[in-house]
Amino acid sequence: MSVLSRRQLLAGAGGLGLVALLAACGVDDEESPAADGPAEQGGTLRAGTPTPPTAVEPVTMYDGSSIALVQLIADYLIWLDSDFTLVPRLAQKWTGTNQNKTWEFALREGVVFSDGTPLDATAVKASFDRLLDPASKSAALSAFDGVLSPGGVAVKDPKTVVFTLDRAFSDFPYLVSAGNYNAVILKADYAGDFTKNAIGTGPFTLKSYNASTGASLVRNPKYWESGKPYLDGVEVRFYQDSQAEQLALQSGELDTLFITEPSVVQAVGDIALDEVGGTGMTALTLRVDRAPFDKKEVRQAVAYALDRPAVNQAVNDGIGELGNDHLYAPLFASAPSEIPQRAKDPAKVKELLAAAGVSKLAFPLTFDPPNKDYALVIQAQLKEVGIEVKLDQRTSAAFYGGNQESDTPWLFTTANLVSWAGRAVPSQFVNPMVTSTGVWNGSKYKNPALDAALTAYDAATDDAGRKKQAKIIAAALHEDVPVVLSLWNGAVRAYNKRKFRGIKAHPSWYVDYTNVSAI
Amino acid sequence: MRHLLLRRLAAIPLTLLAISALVFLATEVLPGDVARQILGREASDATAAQLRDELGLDRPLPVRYADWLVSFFSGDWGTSYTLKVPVRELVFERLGASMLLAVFAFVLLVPVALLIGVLAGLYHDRPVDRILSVTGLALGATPEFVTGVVLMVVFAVSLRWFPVSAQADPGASLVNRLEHLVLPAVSLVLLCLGYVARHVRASTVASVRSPYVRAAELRGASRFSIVTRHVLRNSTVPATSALGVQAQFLLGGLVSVELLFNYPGIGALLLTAALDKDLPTLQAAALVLGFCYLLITLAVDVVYRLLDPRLRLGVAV
Amino acid sequence: MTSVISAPPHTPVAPPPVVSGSRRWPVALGLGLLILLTWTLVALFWRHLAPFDPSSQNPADKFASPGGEHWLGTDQFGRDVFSRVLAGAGSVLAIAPLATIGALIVGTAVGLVAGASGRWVDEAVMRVLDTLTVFPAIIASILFVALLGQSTPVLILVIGLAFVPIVARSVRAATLVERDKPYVEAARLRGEPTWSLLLREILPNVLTTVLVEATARLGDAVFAAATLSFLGLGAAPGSPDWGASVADNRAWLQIAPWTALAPALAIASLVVGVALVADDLRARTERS
Repeated sequence: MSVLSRRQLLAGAGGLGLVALLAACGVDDEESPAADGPAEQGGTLRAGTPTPPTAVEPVTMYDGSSIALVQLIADYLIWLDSDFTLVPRLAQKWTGTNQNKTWEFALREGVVFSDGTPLDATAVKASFDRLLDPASKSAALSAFDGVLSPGGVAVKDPKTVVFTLDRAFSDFPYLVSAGNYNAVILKADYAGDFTKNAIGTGPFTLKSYNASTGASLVRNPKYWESGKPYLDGVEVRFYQDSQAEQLALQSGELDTLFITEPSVVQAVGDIALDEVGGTGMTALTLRVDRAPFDKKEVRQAVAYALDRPAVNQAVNDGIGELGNDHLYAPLFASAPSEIPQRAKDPAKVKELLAAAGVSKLAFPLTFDPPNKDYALVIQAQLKEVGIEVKLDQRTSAAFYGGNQESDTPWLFTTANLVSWAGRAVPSQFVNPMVTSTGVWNGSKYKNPALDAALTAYDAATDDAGRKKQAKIIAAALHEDVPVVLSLWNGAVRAYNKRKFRGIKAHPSWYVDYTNVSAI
Repeated sequence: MRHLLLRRLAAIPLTLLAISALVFLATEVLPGDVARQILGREASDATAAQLRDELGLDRPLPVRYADWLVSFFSGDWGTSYTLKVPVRELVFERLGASMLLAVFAFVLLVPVALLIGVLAGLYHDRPVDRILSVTGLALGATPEFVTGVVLMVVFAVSLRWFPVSAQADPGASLVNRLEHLVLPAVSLVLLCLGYVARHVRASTVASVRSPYVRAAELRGASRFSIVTRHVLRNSTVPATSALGVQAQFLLGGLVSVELLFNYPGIGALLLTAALDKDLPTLQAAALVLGFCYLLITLAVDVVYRLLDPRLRLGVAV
Repeated sequence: MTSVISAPPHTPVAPPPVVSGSRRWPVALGLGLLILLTWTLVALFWRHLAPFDPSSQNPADKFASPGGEHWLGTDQFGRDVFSRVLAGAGSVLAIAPLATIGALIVGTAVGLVAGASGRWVDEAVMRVLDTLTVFPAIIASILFVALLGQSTPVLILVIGLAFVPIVARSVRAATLVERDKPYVEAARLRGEPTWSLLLREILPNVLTTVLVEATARLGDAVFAAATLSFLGLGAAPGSPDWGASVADNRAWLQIAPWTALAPALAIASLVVGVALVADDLRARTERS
């Protein structure tokens, strides 16, 4: 299957979404006519989500539930749409100068926080200073690493913020967008304890929060987009596991889920699924500096042993896009289209193993419970070509515990499975995962040519320049296979089509209920 | 008996102390890092180390234990590392939820078990008895997550008679909350039913054969009055001890039901706290549960002795 | 002369037999034995009985309904459910008896010692047992699994340990009853050493209690193994263990209920079989 260009895929995805919607509507003759009319005010949406593992704190949050909850209450300079276009939100427009080493953002007029304080450049600067301060312990620090340092944010005037970068970075707007999920804009005097001081510029405000059971949100009367949100409020309920929340949705106790697993939910009865292509994936990382994967041929053998369409079917219900062992998802504009898609080839596997002098390949695969199914699929598929995989399951706490410099399993085991949430730009994968100095380089892959190409990519000022560098990087990854990537996950979102409309899937599970209305 | 009571009461704090030490040691040994649970895997080592330092996690074990012990007994149970809420509030909220479910299940269990046991006993060895006994046995053997799953699919998803999750909306009335708890309570009741009913049945059979019941029958007393006056009264002793055993189980064995029905009870809290290495919460939950368990055990023993005059008087049985 | 029963009444009172008094139900015993025998044979010979390899995946055929080629249908990976149920028997039937035997050996030893010793030793042992009983089994399971990995021997260890206090209490109670009997007094006067007293004189007389405990714990062990696997603390990933299978397949209750119901019913049938046999044994020992 040829790798679709982003436009083609979008059309396809849009078409798919439309088809899904039509299919969901068309079969049922009792579809309410109000589904087509103008949106009306009113209604309370009941949403389910897994219990946040930790207190909800925008600066340090990392789990989907906390992120979605915060996104209903606070907002970003720029929003990331489900096809990764940048949508102006608190920033009206932005320009890069000095070869994209300096960026100026003009803020939207007339925006106030839910307590009446006007939004100004001071609050924006404070929000980013907070993220850049090592004492806040934000994961955003890693996103800004090498690009923006403390002191790089300045107020030009009450409605303009200027960022001075450490190096040219043409995709900088993505780093201050929702793509950097901690970068919500909060008041300048925000001092922590978000659930008690939930003041933001988002469409809803927090009425109550209980770490065990859920949250209640109501319409923010001071929201900058007049007439919106249409909903009176959102009731969020926490669920200890996904099976319980699926059942709640099916039995009508919930209207939608923040996070939906494609293979578990079916569009039956009142449930509809909105589908969209994504850039999330699960990487099979192989350590290139120790046996058995220190030989390129052995790594390639594993790559050729996988039946990628079957993986897609098994773990993503067929809605994903095939991966080609490089980090440029088909959805990315710079994704190269010339590299032939790798497919299962048992003869090639034998040939490669023989060339490497490995008569019988056996290795341990380390992972944590969410990736158990994928691990089982890989084990079964590799068994068919005579490769033995021993499953090494750890608890999530153990898998991600330890030191990133020395012993944490997810970065140091021979072969492991790690899931990555969708990123808006490929450099957010390539930089940490496969550059010589990458912070999350579990394969220990070092390729100076690739490092140079990435720097050039980030500095490139136009699409053509980026595509050229992307091709070099992708070809290197495809050949050397430090990471086996068989699938780019598609995303779905389930909702009750009889009661609500306007609920869209998002590849990073982001939530935007501004345009949701009751039927 | 007062001696027994006092001795057992005095032993409780010692037992709890031992538990707290064991929990501390166990958490030490468990792999994983609570700082990472709070910050996520993508936070840097330095950041995680900083948080560990702030939480005081790098101090030597005896220091941390002593520190915790002192605060705990002076009433300061600390703050949950992961959820950042005061532990005492959290634990009691969850305990209350679990107790509500346990008490509800217990309240449903008693009359049903008595009814079934008496029926089986009165008609002993006849088809009714056989069916009830075997059914009770089968249900008692089936793990509660199995019956729970079947109940859920039939009554919540298909028939929609009851909600799927056991958790009511905040501020809901008691009736509404109990409505949400029907399915999990029923799955617990089904589990315990057979055991208790069997005891009731046995004593029913014994009473039915006893001299005074025969005498009453000969006098022409009605079945109903016989049952209520003699049979039930004699069933209370074995029923109590059987119920007591179940009470202990109900409080401690709720984890799988809580997970299945998404009920935020103390069992689920214990599990999450252990997996996350959230020590303050784990300690408090383990100790509170331990305390309840020891109290219930003691209470059952006392009641048993009170009801059985032979034991109360110390006569060898 | 009175002596206060110091047998703690919170020892689970042995439930009376399913069957009452005079008439026996060979049917119940027969059924129980049949179930146990069937599952034991399955556990030993499943490799010959299973039509498919329980771990062989066939994604094209996922969620096939029962009937036809796959008697109990297939699961999300296209694996044959019937073969997995058969293979799972081996797992459960290895864990339960071994855990029970372990608990019996250790528990009986502890109970004998506690019952025959002086007041302080007895108290000390009882406190330790109380502590172990009250210590949350969940934490112990997580700890052992984290340290020793997720496997059958670990489950055996955890369940065995959890049952030791229960067995010890029962044996202690029975020992206390025996301790004051004349034959023990006689043996002591003869100068018999304590260990011999315990093993040769008392043990044979508490054997019925041990037997009752054995049968009760066996059923509980199956139950516990299933629950621990359900909570994700037991079987290795991909194992056809019944409890784990129920947990893994809960998500498909709406679209493919057979994947969870088959192992669930298997668990139920096994425990019922054990319970039927246990009941009958208890009835017999009580009568003698």
